[in-house]
This record gives sequence, C-alpha cells and structure tokens, in this order.
Amino acid sequence: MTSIQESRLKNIFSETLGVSDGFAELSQKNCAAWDSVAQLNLIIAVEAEFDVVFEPEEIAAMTNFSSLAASLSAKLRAKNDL
Amino acid sequence: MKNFVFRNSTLEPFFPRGETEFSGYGDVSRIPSDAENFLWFYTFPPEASSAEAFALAESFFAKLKLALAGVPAEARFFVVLLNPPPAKLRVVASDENFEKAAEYFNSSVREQARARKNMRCVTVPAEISDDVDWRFFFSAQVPFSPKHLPEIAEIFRGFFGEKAAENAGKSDGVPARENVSRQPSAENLPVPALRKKCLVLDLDETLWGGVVGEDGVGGIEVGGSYPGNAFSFFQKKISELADSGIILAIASKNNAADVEEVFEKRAEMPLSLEKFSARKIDWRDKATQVREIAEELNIGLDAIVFADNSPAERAWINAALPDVATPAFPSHLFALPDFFVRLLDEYFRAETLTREDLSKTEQYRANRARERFARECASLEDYLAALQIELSVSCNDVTAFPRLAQLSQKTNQFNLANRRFSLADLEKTVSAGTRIYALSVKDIFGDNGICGVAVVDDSARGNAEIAEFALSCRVLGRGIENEFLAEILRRERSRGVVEIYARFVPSQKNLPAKNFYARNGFAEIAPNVFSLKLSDGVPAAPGSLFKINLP
Repeated sequence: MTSIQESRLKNIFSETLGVSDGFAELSQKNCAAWDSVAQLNLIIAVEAEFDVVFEPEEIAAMTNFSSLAASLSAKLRAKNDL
Repeated sequence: MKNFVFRNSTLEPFFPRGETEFSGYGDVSRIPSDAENFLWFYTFPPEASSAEAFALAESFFAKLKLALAGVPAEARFFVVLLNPPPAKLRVVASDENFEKAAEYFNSSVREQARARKNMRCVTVPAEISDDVDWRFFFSAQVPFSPKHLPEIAEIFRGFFGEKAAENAGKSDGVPARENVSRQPSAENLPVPALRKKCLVLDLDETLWGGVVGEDGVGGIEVGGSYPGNAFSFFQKKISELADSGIILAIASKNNAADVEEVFEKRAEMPLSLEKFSARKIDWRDKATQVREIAEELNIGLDAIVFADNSPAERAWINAALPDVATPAFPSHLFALPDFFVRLLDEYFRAETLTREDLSKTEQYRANRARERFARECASLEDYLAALQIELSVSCNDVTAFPRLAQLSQKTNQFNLANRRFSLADLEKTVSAGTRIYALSVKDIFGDNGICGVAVVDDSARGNAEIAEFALSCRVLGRGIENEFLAEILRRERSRGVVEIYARFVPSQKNLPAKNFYARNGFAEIAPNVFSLKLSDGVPAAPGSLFKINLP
C-alpha cells in the first residue's frame, strides 16, 4: 500500500471512529467507538473509497487496524495484477 | 435524543451517528418519550415466501399502531411505505401477493396519516429496495446495498434535518415524494419454456455448512450467523419452490441415520425431511441415486435439476446422465440467493399456478396461526401474547455447543460477564460439572434457533455462580432475558443450590445489561457483584407473558 493510500485509510478511521493517532495498535478491543455498527461503516467506507469488495469471512476477521490494512493491501495488489 | 427509528433490520449505516436511536429488531415495546422525530422503517425479509406476505404486512401494521399509540402526540411520525421484496426471487411470475400486501399496509398507513397530525409517508424507490448486497445482508442484516447510502441519507435529511419543520407545516399531509413505487422488474421475469419437475439436492455443503459425518449434528452450519443464515435462506426458498409444485429429492453420500438426526434435532431448519418425495442416502454413486429417483417418481431424467456443491459430482452426473441439468454451485455462500434466482430463471419459475401445482394445504395450515395476528392487537400485552413466543431451555446438550460458542464469541451488547468460551472451553467445563444452558426462541413468524447462553459453576457450600449470561440482540427487548434467567434459577434451585452469585463485568459495549441482575431481584453485595438466596423460591420474572416450553 502506498503512503497516500494509507493516509486515505487513516482518514476513514478518523472520520468513523473519531481517533487521530495510535493506528498501529487500534483494535475493536481497545476502542469504545468501534462497535459492530462502526465496523459496518468502516467496511462500507473502505469499499467505496478503494473500489474493492470484501467477503463476509474477511470482514469478520478485520478486527484491528493492521489486519484491515493488510486485507486491503492484498485486494489492491490483486486488482493491480489483473 | 432527537430521532428514534422503529426497524426490523440493520439501518444504522444509513443514518448519521449520534442523533438517532434504533428500536430492537421488530420490537415496539420500548418507545422513548423524549424523541422529536419518529420513523417507522420496516422491510419485508427477502427470504419470506409469498404465502407469508399478508400475515407479515398485517403484523407490521398491528405493531405500527402500537407504536403510534405510544408516541407523544406532538412528535413527528414518518412512515416508510412498504415495497415488495426483490421480484427476481419470485417463484411464480404473475404472483402479486407481495404487491397486494404492501398496498394493504400502505393504504392503512395513509388512512392513519389523514387522521393524525404530524404524520407523513415516505417512499424509498424500488431501485434501492430491490438492490440487496447479500454480503451485508447475511453478515449484518442490512436490507439493501450500502452503495445507496447517499440517496437514503438524502431522503431522510429532508425529514429529520432542517427541512423537517417545513414539511410538517404542509397542509396536504402527503409530501411530494410520496408515490408508491411499482416494480419495474416484475414484468420481465424470465419464465423457462418448459418447467422442470424435480430438484435433486445434495446435503453437506449444499443445504447446510459442514459435513454431518465429521462435524456432527450440532456442528453443521444452518441458521445463526453467516454462513449458516445463507443456508437457511436457501432452504426457505427451496421450501417455497416445493409449495409451488416442484418435487424435491435428496441424493447424498451419508449415513441415513445421521441425516435423519439432523432433520430431527436441527428443528430450526426451514426444510423438513417430509418435504422430500424421494431420498437416496447411501454410499452408492450419485448417478445410480439420481436414476433411481427418476424411476421412483416416474419422471424423465430431462425433468431433473441436480444441485450439488461438488464439481466432481456434477461432472459425474453430466457424463453418466447428460439429460440431467447440473448448474454450477456458487463459490461464495453469500451468492446462494443469486443461485436460487438462476434456478428460477432457467428451470423452475412458473408463469401462473394451476390447481395441480397447489399442494398448499400444509402451508395454509401453518399460516392460520399467523393470520390470527391480523386481529387487533390493542395493547402491548396483546401483541406479545399474539406473537406466541415459546422459549425452550436445554442444559448440557452438546449438539448446541457450536452455536453457543459462536454466541459467546459474538455477543457484545447483552453479555453480562464478557467471558468468551470456545467450543473446547465449553466441552472442558461441562465435564468438570458446570451447567451450560441454551435458550431457543420461537414465535409465530418462525424459529430463531438458539439465542441465549448461560454458564453456571458450583462455588463453595452449596452455592453457585453464573459465570456467563449472554443473549443475542435479535431477541432482546421482550423480557425474554428475564424468563431465561428465572428458568435457570428454578433449575439451579431444584439441584439444591441455596444461594447464587452473579457478576456484571462492564465493557465498552454492554451497558444495556448493567441493571439486569438488580431488576431480577438480586442484591448488589459489592460493586457489580450480585447475590440471590434461592431458599425462599425464585422470584417471578418481570412481565411473564410467555409460555415456557420445557424439553
């Protein structure tokens, strides 16, 4: 993921969860605002922003910033390979 | 709070966070008195069969009237008019049950709106309501694709936002947008020239997730969360197909006893074994099984469609019995509704139903109970009574453990101790003497399956402790949690437990459960530690309106 893509991703997190730093450690466990509705809003926003589609199994596994960023990275790579 | 939404699906993503609160799913028992705007936004569940359309619309309207009666007269009340579910799921092309049911609801609502000040109708275009993203539908019960988020937000900004006052001032009582949307797609539904007669189904990984011979009766996935709910959807639709005259059959490599046990014990499955007119459950090759099915039913091989997730089995049938249709099974389970649409488009949709097609007696019998709902529900008590909620509680039933582990992992809101039990944890604790209670909930609209879990340990001197108590948010808000607790207390008492302890472990998400034990007669003996003496009996649960069904 490029640094521009990463900052676009962080913007989505900031807007949805109201956080401004500590992204690397950010997870559903340590963030009160990250409930199931926020999870849904995050995925919807990320899909729209990056034009990717996640599968339900992937969505269920994306419970922290790092795993979401990794999943997105993989999607973007797969898109570029096409 | 500014806005309150009565809903039966997940609508949170479509509204700005912070100023809007939502009812429980399908619940009208909690009506806040401090909201300025109320919105009624119900949708037909897309898995509903055409035969259920009227009962659903009637139940929505009965609930709506309860909500209206409880909402302060000066508050604004907006009602989203009903659209039929996506037409492409329709088994019979000319069937207009859902249109008629929606029209019944909508005209009843308009009549109410004429009589009540500050009540308005809102339309959501069919292009939006027809467009379901099955991924979000199955993983979060979102009724239509989030890509329409901006359009929906725009519709409601006009009502909840600055323009609300202006709208409320209009004298005609009907905003300009209000205009029931037709279903443009319904008229162009494909109807196959020659309708196939029989659908032959595989079982493992086709009608449910997992392999019964390996995962066990409790381990297979059907109902509950994704992907179990995708299989339930598929089964429900196949059941509707059978009611329209299509013969169902099973071709499965399995032990017949295992399969019979699944149909017997997993009662939340929409399909029952009796729906299948021919059943080949053995270890012979599938071409032999399908050939026997054709002979037994006295139909040609070219009248058969074979649905199996395994490409190898489909290729085998293709080679051995080329007249049998073998549509490709979707690689993602959230695409099962699309697969069903393909089955309809290419093989099974009927233009109209003839009398012979209608083997519907059973269906009508099942519906009679629901139609009772049509009668007036004058009060909340009537409504809860009319729902005929039935709870059943089991203890240490290992077939329930996989679903209980899932509930324990996933439930955040109504989770008292926030302990997460894996399947292995449950199996280990039960062998150490712990009681693991499972709650199942049924009402006239169907079987919700297992929705609650509680874990009770022995502690010192004849006492016990509730180590965990969690209930799915799908069934919250009807007093069900109180009844579940009371039933556990009764059973613990009959085991000789004198005093029972419980703990509330606050998390960032379980505040709604904070007063649960206190409300149910427990004394708080230390911060968030509760105790109840069972020697004097078990206090009655607040609001006992349910029939408790004990296995």
